[in-house]
Amino acid sequence: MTISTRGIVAGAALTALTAGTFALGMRLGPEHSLGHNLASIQTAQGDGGHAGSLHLASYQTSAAKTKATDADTDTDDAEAGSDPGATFQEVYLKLKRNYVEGVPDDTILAHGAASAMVASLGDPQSRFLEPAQMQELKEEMQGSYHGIGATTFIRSLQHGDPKATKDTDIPGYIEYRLTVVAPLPGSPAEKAGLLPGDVITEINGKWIATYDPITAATKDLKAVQNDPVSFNKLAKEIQAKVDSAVSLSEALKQLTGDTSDKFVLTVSRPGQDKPQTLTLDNTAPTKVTPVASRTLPGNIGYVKITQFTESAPEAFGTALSTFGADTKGLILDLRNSPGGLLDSGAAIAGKLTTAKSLGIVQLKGKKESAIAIKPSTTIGYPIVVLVNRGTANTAELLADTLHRSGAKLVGEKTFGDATDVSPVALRDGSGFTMTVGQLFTSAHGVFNEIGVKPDIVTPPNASPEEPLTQAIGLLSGQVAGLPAIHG
Amino acid sequence: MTIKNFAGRALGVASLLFVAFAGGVSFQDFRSVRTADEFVSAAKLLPMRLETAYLTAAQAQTSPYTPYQTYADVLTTLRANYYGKDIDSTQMTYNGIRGMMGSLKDRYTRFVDPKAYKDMMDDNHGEFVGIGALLGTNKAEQIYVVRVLQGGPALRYKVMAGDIILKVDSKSTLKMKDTAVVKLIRGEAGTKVTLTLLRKDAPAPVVITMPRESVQQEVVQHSMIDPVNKIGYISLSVFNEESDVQVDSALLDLQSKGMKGLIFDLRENPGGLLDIAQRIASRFIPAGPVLWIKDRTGPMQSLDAIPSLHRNHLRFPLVVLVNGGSASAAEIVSGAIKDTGSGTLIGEKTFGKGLVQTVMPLHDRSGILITTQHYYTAMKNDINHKGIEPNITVKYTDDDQRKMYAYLREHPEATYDLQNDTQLQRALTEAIQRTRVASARPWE
Repeated sequence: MTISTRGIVAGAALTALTAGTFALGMRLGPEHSLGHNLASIQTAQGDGGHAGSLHLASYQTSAAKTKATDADTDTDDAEAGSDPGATFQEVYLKLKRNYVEGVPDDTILAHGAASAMVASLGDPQSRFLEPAQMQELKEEMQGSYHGIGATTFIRSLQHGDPKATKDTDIPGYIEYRLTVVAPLPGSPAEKAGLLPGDVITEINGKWIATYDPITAATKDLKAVQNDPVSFNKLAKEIQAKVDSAVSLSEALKQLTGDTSDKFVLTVSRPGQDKPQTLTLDNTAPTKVTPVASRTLPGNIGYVKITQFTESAPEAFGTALSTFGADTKGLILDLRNSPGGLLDSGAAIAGKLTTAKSLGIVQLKGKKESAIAIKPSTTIGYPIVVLVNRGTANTAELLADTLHRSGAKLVGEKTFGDATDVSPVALRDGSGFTMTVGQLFTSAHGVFNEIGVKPDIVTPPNASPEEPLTQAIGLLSGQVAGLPAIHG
Repeated sequence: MTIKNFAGRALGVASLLFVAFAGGVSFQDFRSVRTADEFVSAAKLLPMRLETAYLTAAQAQTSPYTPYQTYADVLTTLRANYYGKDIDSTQMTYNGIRGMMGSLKDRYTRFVDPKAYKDMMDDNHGEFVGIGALLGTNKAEQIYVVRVLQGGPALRYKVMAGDIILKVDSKSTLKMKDTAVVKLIRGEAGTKVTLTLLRKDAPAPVVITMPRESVQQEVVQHSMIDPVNKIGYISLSVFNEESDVQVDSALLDLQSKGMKGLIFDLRENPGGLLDIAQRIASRFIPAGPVLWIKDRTGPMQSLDAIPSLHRNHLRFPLVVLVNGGSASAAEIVSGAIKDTGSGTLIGEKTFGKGLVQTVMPLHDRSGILITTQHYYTAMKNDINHKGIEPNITVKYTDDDQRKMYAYLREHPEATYDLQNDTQLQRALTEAIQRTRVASARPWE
């Protein structure tokens, strides 16, 4: 729902990665795990591999075999019972009492639990956030972006998707796409030429683990399973890939955090065969101006909404008030506008249309409910809305709502993000984002993964001026496509 | 030996990669926890209210905030508001526990759910429920009985080595893997299974119905590898509660046949139970420590050779085969033998795991393994991440490995492949030599 929320979203591709590590039975110590999130879920599917696991066990129940056995003979009966919480607490107390390397830290244990729980949803938009990341999220919601200054969205390609690079006929196989939604104006991302729709594959030369290379190589591994030498060789290669990779959540942490003064990103761009390498300066946070406006020649008002912040509706009203009574039309620029608060979207819509709702939201276990637009004074002149594949979420709903009220849409098909994601704060300053619902257009239209289609489509390679020219043409009564006056 | 285990792993890859999340456990209402409710209740009305609520809630920290509360807050919030599949509280709790244990970044400290816990216990007891037959795949990709185990239903109901399994109950085994067939044959004790078998010289397929029973695993294989020089061979695949008994009976059998020297093969042995390692080592080393252990608070303590099990010590020259797959309990035994000079280690450097886990059952039948102690070898050497260097290093070439694997695939009943196994060849040479030296010094 908010751009900030989506900007730092994580994936759960990692569960599968570690499961594979165990399945292969490779000689892996804990030092080989892929980072925090990976480590915290490394046993998630490792249970099945018990037969081949390396353990040296002594039983707690067969008393006095070892000293550690004695240390835990007082069981935690206070917590006994069949509810899951009791099991959790039981494990916690046993770890605190018995772990060999000193008493484990509560914060680390708590965050390990929380991040694994959120990751186990398998929902790339739901993600645990350390306190520092929560702070960044707060700042983003106020329009200040650390890192590359672009919002991102993680698309997932399920098993069987023809677009997947590595589908291996394995049910449950998932590939993730760390996709750029919108580079923000003035951001390092924009300056370096990052475009909406770009898929980030490497960060500073390190592969971002967006699929499980072991699962992806199942066919190849099976093909050589009767040849120990080739099998081990291939397994080693895959392991090297895993070892040198950066996890999806770690990548997002870096991209949205203050970790370095430079990023080198490898991106794959739709329509281009070769991956692009972009170098981004990350010296200062990107400050976003949610609403910017000017008057174009021919008395056409122009307003650009970059982020639907809490203060955006007021700024939008102020912008409108600067346009005179003889204004011929309004160009609402929603290009590279990744969304924000639905409330703000509805308030802005109220100034432009008499429509009753911005769209429909479906929450868990609830009936669909309309996102109400409060009636307000509306403008009396025609509207053209500029959209592109960086127009997402709240911005898509606004574009659709205005379209239904007669506004023309010019540009590209929009991003297609109808997820309703909320941040949740935990009491120690950490938190997580969570998908809480799905958005639909007010006509119950599905736009997730589909987007909203414009009336007049400009080609993807067109200059940024072209849609604007088209819009001006429409509003000044000229035929679209003819050479027009540049403002 | 080495390669057989490799085969097991290769097959394991396929089956493990398909492990799916099991759900469907009913939820007992969570004990009352004060949760993220302040801000989540807002979400129940309209999602857009959340930001404001979130900003205020983030400031409302309470000082003693335990991992339990974090867990409870997350669980409650997800159950109430996550838009997607319904949250199974038991499975979500297990994931939380896995995450909490995983945060210690010790791969050996881990959670096992009730099913895995039961399997682990069965493994440690050295038992499984089935018919007691070892299966393999022949050249024609048929599944057949490699060997019938002692004391199992297969022996009583006259299943024979070489029988090709056509059907398990009504299910054809055509194009199935041996692991999948094993899965079909195993089941609950007391239930019945019917095999349709193709037997050489039988006019029609043989149909046998037999009960599934608890059968002892075969963890030891032994033979007189060199009948002329009377060199015995014992391989041990894992340290479970069966290992001690089976090693003992193998030793007795070989000694009754006049064994003069022994090759003890611990290659690819991943370890197992600590007390079993202590018992097995006790058979080969002089009185004194087998190993030393140390937990987070206490001093180093020795676990000594058990005098009553001491009878085999130094009766015959001993050669121990080890490699990178010899871990934990296998390292304790080989380390004790090396440190006390009770035998010669041949092969490759061992895995290097110097940590002891304690298995702790939980109230809901799941369990946890916690690394509770470090251990050191008899001479107080720390082998963690280091391993044990053999006295004589012999490495396989790629060619050796391919040949051995091919041989063992074609001869699944074989205990070893003396023709291609260069480590075993060296061990045999060494054992013969030492036997001669020993017999030339009758005063010992």
